[in-house]
Amino acid sequence: MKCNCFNEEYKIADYDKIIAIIQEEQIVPGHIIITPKEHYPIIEATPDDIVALAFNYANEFSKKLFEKMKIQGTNLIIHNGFPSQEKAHFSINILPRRENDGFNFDWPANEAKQEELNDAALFIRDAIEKLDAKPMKVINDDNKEAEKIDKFLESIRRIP
Amino acid sequence: MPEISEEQLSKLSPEQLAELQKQNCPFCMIAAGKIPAIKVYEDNLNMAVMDIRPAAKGHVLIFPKEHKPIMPLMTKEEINSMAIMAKKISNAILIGMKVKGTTIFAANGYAAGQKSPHFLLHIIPRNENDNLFKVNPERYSPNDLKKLVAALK
Repeated sequence: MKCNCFNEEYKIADYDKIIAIIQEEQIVPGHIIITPKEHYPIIEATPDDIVALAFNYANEFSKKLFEKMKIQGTNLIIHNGFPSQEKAHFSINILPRRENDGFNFDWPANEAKQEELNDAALFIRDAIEKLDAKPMKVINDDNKEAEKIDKFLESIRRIP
Repeated sequence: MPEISEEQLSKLSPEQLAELQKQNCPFCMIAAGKIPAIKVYEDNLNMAVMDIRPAAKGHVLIFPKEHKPIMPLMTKEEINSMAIMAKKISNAILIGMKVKGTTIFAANGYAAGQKSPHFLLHIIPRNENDNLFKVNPERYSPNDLKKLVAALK
């Protein structure tokens, strides 16, 4: 890896563009990271194909953990920015879980008001539209395109 | 919905049990349009809806349209689509909810905190002091880490 974000001494697998590495600060025993070799700070800055590869390898590795360790579950966690991302390098945490292991990521699941949900949905859908929007066609500086359009418009105006 | 006794359940084959789970799965019903949900995005394989019991305002769930109880049972294509959708939704949340971070979270299995019969990927907007994902990581010695590497390679 070109960046010094991870200690490659603790690498467990190398999938060419993606690696699996033991996390030095273990949240639960067996905590592993799946991360691209190339440095991308957050998921939004990571190319689609790398994100897709990372998710697929995270899944493959979780299956491997089920076989190698006697675990009953896994958590996949990606911290993206503030406040929980510690290293500015996109990575997927895989946490092996066992029943009654004393860890709990639950949150209070209170039902939200319909209005609040609708409002949030509007903002999110709007943002998605902006992200999906194709770039507008720009007319050339020398205005040849503009001239063509003008002439065309004039020609159709002349038709009785 | 007809009630099924324990006895009747025990007589069902694994396929019949899976079918029963699917028929009673709220997310399969959402995908089929049988119960309402606030949809924000979808493609042919996955759907994104607002979580009605959110960890924070703007909490979105992404799930496969086919019934998949856990991620290991999803196909490569379903996971590719889900990954790209997660990136898009996370980006949209940063912009739309004006937050400085998100957490993408999944639980495979009851022991991991899975609450739904259908696999869900959570995209959660983050805020200061939101009390989410608090952890106390343990710093392992290089020796212990090397033993772990050997065990998992």
